[in-house]
Amino acid sequence: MENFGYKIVLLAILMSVAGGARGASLLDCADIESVEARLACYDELAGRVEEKISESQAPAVSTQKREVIRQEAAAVAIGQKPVTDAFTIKRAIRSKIMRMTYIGDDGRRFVDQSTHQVAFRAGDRVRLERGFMGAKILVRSDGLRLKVKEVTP
Amino acid sequence: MTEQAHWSAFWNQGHATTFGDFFRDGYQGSIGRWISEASAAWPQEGQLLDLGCGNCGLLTSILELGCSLSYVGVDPADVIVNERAQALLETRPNTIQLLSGQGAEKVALPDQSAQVAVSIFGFEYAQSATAVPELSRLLASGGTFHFLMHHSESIVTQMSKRALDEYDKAEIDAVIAALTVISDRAERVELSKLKDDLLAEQARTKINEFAAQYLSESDAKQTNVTMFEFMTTALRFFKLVRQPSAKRLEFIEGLRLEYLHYRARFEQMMSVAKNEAEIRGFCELCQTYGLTVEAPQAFHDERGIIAWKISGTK
Repeated sequence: MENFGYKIVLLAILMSVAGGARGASLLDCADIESVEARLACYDELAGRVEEKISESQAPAVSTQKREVIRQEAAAVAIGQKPVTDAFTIKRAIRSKIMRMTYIGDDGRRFVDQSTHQVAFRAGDRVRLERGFMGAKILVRSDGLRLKVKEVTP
Repeated sequence: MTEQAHWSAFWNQGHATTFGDFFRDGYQGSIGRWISEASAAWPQEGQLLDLGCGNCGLLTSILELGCSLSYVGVDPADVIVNERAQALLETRPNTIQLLSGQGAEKVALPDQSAQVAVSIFGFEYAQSATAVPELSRLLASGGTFHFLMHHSESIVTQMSKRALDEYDKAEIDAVIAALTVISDRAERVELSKLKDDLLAEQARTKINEFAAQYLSESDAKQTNVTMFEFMTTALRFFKLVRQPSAKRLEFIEGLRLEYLHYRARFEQMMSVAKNEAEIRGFCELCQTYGLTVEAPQAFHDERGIIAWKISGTK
């Protein structure tokens, strides 16, 4: 499991740094016709990969943070800025089995899928970020990020 | 416990569709496109009947399409108008009526009161022998109906079968019994000494064994998704250990009911799914009651069959 997760993080980091502002993306490099230029592109990319791996493996980097890096990174890598929109949570409902559901002031409904004990409250202003593979994350103004599943019809 | 109770429990959780777990885009995806195409021929005025409406997911969709028909939702379970539809209704002229607690077999509306009838995975739960003549009674002359009905080979049916295959009642009961023991012991001994309590420790060890069994699979294809989700939910109990006994017991009973309803719903979904012979029989029944039905078609998306697509006219 850990190894599997590590591979995903590594792949995401690869894609992430590839999409960074300093250099071309992995796909950009692959498109370069000149062999020398293409190798140089990959070399530059590899340097940034090493840097990011060190960063992500620091003890202070939580699993959640890695997840966030991965989702944002992947969006960058495929050349898309994360789509965001903001709304206020009108109701936060905790079920008998501790499942949190958030209802936005526009009627949208989200089920909390994070493992955190903390939850949003009614009145919280949040923005919805769309991450890798359709993942959705609600982000509160203080930075609290919770992965959610949208169940709006 | 009645079939309606299982569905009422589901809709009370706020779900908007029964198929949200199967089609991520819900009414925005292929089903949404089907509604959009069907609605192109609907009249501007009149009444639309949503048979087996649940929490009115279809209403949201038709409001977003700009449909001006009045809406009547009918469902045998206790249902509500979902929050998204409520928000949209603040700026739309549509009138709506919700007939909660009524099946498609007997709807409290006058004869020929509907210009359009729609059902998305709803009508097949009713008894066809009475629901079809009732549909014929409710539709105005020239009125149309558009149904998506469970197909015996569909993705939904396959996933329902998988959910039932994965569901291990004995182990679910064992986990619930173990949680009950821990809750009981937490009441009898000080929390700080709970770890030293033999019965509580035995129960905790049992739960840990199940957790290890179901939560450690790294291959998504091999994961028992039903039991994975059950165990993930069950483990939330430990956040409540310091809460009053009533709160803990409420959690345990909620968990028991959740999975009782879960199984019952999937069993019912499987039981109402129709094969080709059955859907042809359904269409013949419709014709018996003056409804002209187009040849039934399997409705596909890129992953496979979604449903039977049935449409017709009175």
